[in-house]
Amino acid sequence: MATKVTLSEYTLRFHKDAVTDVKTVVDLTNFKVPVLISGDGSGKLVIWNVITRRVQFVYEIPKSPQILAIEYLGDLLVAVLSKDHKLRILQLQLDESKTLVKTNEQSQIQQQLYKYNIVFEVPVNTLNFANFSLEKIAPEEYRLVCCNTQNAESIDIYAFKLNRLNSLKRLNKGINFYKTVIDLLRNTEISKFDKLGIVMKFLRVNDLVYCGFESGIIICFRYKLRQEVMTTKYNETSSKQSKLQELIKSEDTDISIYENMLEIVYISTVHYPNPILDLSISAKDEETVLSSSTDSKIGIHKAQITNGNVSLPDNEGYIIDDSKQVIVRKTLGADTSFVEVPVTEIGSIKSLKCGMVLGGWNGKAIVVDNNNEILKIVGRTKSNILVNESAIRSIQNDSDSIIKMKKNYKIKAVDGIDGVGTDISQLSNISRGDQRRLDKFLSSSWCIVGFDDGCITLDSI
Amino acid sequence: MVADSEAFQEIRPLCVELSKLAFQERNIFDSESSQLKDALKSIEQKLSGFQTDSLSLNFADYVFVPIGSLLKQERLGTPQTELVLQIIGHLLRLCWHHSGTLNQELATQLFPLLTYLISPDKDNEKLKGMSVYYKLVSAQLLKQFFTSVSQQSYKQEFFTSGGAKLLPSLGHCITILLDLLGSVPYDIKLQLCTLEGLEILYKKLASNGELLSFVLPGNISAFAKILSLPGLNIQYKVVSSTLHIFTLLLRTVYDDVDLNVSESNKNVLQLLPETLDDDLKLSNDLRLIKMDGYLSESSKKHRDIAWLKATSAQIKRALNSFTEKNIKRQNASINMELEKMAYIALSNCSISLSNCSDDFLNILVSLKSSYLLQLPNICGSLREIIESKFVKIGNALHFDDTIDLDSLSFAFKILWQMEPDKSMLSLATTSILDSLSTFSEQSIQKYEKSKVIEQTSNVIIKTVLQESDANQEFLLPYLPNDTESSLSQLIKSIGSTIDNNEILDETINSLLTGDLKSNIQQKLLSLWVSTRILVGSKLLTVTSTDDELLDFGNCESEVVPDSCYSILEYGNELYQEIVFLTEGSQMSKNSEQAYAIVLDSIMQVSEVMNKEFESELIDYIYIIVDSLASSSPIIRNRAQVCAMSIAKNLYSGSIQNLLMNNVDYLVESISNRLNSGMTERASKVLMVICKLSGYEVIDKFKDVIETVFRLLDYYHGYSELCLQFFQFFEIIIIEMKKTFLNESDNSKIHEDVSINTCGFAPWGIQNWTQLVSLLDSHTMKDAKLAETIEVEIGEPNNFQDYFDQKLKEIDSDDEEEIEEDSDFDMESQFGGKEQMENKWESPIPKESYRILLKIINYSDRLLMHPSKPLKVQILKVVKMMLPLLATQKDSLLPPIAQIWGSIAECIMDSDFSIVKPACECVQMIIKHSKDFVTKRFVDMWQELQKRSHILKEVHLNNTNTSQTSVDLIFHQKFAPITKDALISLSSMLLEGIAVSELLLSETVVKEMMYCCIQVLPTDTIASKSIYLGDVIWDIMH
Repeated sequence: MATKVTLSEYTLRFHKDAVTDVKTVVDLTNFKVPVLISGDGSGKLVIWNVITRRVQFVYEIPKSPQILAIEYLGDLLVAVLSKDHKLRILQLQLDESKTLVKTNEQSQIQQQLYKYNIVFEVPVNTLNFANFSLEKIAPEEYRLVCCNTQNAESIDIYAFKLNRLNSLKRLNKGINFYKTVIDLLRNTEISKFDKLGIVMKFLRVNDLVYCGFESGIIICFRYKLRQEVMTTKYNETSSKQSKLQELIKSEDTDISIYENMLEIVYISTVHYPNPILDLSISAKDEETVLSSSTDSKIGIHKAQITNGNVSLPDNEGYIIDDSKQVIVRKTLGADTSFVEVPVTEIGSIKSLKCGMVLGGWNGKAIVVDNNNEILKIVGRTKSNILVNESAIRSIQNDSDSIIKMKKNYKIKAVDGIDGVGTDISQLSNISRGDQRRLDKFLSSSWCIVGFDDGCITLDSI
Repeated sequence: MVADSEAFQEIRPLCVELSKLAFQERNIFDSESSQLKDALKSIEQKLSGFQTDSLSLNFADYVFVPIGSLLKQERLGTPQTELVLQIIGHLLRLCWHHSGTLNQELATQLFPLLTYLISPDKDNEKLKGMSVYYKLVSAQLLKQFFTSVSQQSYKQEFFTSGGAKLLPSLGHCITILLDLLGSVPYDIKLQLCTLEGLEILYKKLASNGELLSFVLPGNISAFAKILSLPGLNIQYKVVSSTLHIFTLLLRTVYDDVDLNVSESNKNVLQLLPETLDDDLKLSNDLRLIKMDGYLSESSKKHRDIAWLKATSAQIKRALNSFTEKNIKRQNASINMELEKMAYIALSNCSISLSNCSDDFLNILVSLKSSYLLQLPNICGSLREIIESKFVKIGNALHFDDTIDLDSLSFAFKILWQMEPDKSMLSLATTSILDSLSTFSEQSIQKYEKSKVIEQTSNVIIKTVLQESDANQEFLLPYLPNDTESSLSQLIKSIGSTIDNNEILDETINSLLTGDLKSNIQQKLLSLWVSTRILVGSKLLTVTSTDDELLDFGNCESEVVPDSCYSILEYGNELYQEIVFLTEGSQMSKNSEQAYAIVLDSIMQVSEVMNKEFESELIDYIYIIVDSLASSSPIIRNRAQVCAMSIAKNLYSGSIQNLLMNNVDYLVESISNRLNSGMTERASKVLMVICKLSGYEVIDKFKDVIETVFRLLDYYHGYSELCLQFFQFFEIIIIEMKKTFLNESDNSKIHEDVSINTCGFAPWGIQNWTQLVSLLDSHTMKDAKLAETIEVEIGEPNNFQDYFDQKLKEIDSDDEEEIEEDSDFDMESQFGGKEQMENKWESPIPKESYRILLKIINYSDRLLMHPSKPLKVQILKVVKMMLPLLATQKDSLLPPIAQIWGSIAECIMDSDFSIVKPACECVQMIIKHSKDFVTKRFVDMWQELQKRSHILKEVHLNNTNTSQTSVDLIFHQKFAPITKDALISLSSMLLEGIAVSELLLSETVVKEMMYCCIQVLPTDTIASKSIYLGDVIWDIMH
């Protein structure tokens, strides 16, 4: 009897709280094995060895705030954003001594394979759902894009150096794209929206940052450093740069306004007016981004960059917003490309070479292939009978005693790993058994889903 | 000399007497007269009484005079001859024993005389017809003669000096001795005596190769005849002595140095064209032998190449005729002689008897002789022997020839020490594997039919980790145990020769990848063989000398050979294959064996890998635990040994730790089984895990239990599946009880159970402790009662709320899923939780308590199931969990209210085997929820009277109108099952009366009592309370 009731191939059980983010990292040079970094609702950051499916490292954020987003920056650097309004960057280090750490709950003893060091932390507004974007701009130096400290509808941009707390500089403050975008979309069908809404998601693709908004608009911008503009001003050799000179003169005489400018290079209105729920880099084309929303569309976004170098606004071609921080080519139109998938309310999305993993609000993660046919459905259902252990509770709070029947555990995050076929490089210092398991794991693609009961499931696709 | 003269005095009259007869004329002389016989006899007896060996020569002369004269007579009767021989023997012993006492002349005269006396004819025809006693006397005499001569200075030249005129007699004498040796019926004493004589002769008197070479053929054939006799007919001492002399002869006659032979590879052929005859196969390959001095020395020499060729062939034939037979006798002294013979022959006669060297080597191999190591230049031959033994290993298996297997493993090791050879390895392993699989195919049919013992899950759970069977080593049912262990030992020896991981990997890989298409049986054997090779190869590192250990130990033990993984992977694949084959069908002997071999291989490899095995548990722990839950006790045993070994290596002996540390992997595997519908295995394995590692483990995979519940949602129609799950729930509850309720609670629960099963508390008390705890519990109960009254002040509220909640629950059942922002939801939950936490009193955590609530919920649902075993199981589970639920009083009541109806319905059942547990269950409910169920109890009684089948059994005449005239009828005879049910019912009623006494009218109580007194003694009931006492009195009078 093949059942409707199925358990996942592998279930990672450690979190006692809802899993809020999962990120797989296949960085064999640093981690030896593919790892999974997960965070939960009570501040636990966990690194899993996905081969042994055991916990390798646990970090508990003080006071157990909910973890919002995790990013692996390479070189054993992990950035984690949590509800205590902090973005922390952890530097991990292999700990040969394998200390045993007692995690607070249930006196679970956990072997720690890594030591950690918090190499940077910065306050970030987390009164919203947004994650953050970090770009490495120089060794040990990063640029952070996140929600504005007061208003989650606008963004702030910072730069900092690791290990130097006072190196934090705010490059841009409270950039709001609304005016620019409404200018640009004035003559289109969807010009009536009165705000972009809060930022729902950031996604960095090389030097581009995609922002998904509550209104369903996706904006992609790239960062213009001040120096480039300054150079333009004093160096008048090239004809193109002299155009800028004219522009400056004609529009505004204050030259300093052009430092740290953002150029919007792409806009999509495909999901309007539904909020953007997640963004994912396409596995097939690393410059393409996929987006999900409450509708059944998966937006496809690819910013067309005409010039990899400085593209300067000219009189006719560019709109500059009032804050002098955002420019956009006037001719930039809104993109609406998408594919239709057989589900709606896709809270999280991960693109894989073989298709997509879509985590739905209904507690079902769907894997679709490249023709959008459903390959697999992953979910965790509860039994039909719900029990309440306390009779007293119902006396005190009548409305609470109505037991809400939710058949499925909710999905908080999805991720996936692409199978790499059979040609897997031999790793040294690895036993044959481990090698075999590694090969086996990497030979198929995996769909990874984090649930709100604290379980993370792995299913091969 | 005092003795001498005394002896003389004593013997003289006797000699005189004899002389009278001896010196008679020939024509008067009666050679067979009894007179003569008596005279001889008296002398013989006298002489045999003398214990000394140093009587004077004069004495001898004196005695010998009449004897000599007697011998001059024409003939002598047999008894007389016998006596004469004895007398001469005595003389040799008494007078001619010491050096110088027997002069050569006398001896030279005496020797032909003696041989003639013993056997006048050359063919010993007469002798053969003689009595055993006569033969023995003859043998003793000759032995005595040789002994005496061997004391003399001329012993070496005795036969050769004087122109060899004694040689004919010597020849005759030897034939006599040989004939005596072989004379039927066999007499041990005679044979031993003969052999002793021969030994003295060959060793001390005629230890001359050239001389003995003449008598050699006769000796060899006589010895061969003796040695090839069946063991029943010939005593081992005779055999070993014969062998001893055989060896002596070989050594003397064929000594390489004495013969002056050397190995050569040319020229000899031309000299000896006759070597081309048919006997070539048996004889020496003379091309390789050169006899130096053959041409130069005189032609007198008897032992020439031709002789060598002929006789060596005879030796070989002789050897072939007896060695194997005697090795099989496994007699220590025979073996020792054989070993010596082979060793001596190989070290002294290796060239001259080179045609036999294989045979001798074979002997040493078969006897596992350490002499092998002392012999030079045997490598080649040894290899050939081993090779041929490997080729014929199938025979050894067929005939259970453990000796052969043992010796082979010995020889293999020896050879490897001399000359490691990889090709030998592969020959060995492949031939073992081939013959083993051929053999197994032939004999497997027999075993296929034999039935496998399969046990039910109850037995499995009870006995898990309890049995201990010492008979663990044997895995191949078609081989006798000792053969298997020899074979196993052989393979391990082969393995032990491999000291290098590369060769090991190569060998094992070739075994495992040998033939991919082969059937399971062959694969199993490959696994079995390779496992043993691996184990063997690792034994060496452990047992090698200290120096080696230092060299290898450090670097080698670190690196786990690849073959460990190969074996594990192979075993795993095989396991999956067997699972696939056996799924859904009855277990066959073959698959039972297969599981056992796979488990064994895992265990062996885990021992080799030691700590390194820990990371492999991810793939193999399930196989072990699954087998722990197998229905076959053999597999369970094997799994147990395996689990213990792993636990010993990795978790300092704790199986619980082994399971706890790997419970995640186990759960994954179980999930997979559940996914693919293998619920039976899965639930059994869950039970075993839970049983072995305690309740803690449940905590770790709550979601699997959730899945079990979900499966119940979907498949509640399948009674088997539900039954399995409820058996699992039973284990959960037991373990939960162990974990969360402390000792005193435990004993209380235990005692409660005993009340239920025995019907009524004081009944069934079996020992003093029970009584004490019973008394204690009464006092505790009183205390508890006071408590509960306090606690239950808010009761009416609860009751009302219970109904409210009940209604809402029903509502909520119909509700579709409600989506809502999780964050808010979570926060509100938090708020709620905090409020509740203050009220939580139970030692059982809420999470676990919730599981209990779920179980009782499903119990309620599934009690509607028509399956009887399921109902019984559910009732059992409910009864068990009530004390646990009762730890949180408030939460106990809603489920009780819910399930009451279903259980009450079971009491109405027409099947009394359901009624009994249902009553027990209700009794337990009443006990724990007290007056909460009073009303229900009263109502139930009314229902019972209307509908119950069990009450009909006691024929309660429910004629309310004529209460007083109720005829009290005792039904003494109930069917056991009815009686049990009635006892339970009565106990339940008593329990119910206890809590609802005041609410019941006397009439009702009376009705109940009518039922109770049918099965319970009235005194007991009456002692329950004063009120009941009154009622009972009323009924009885």
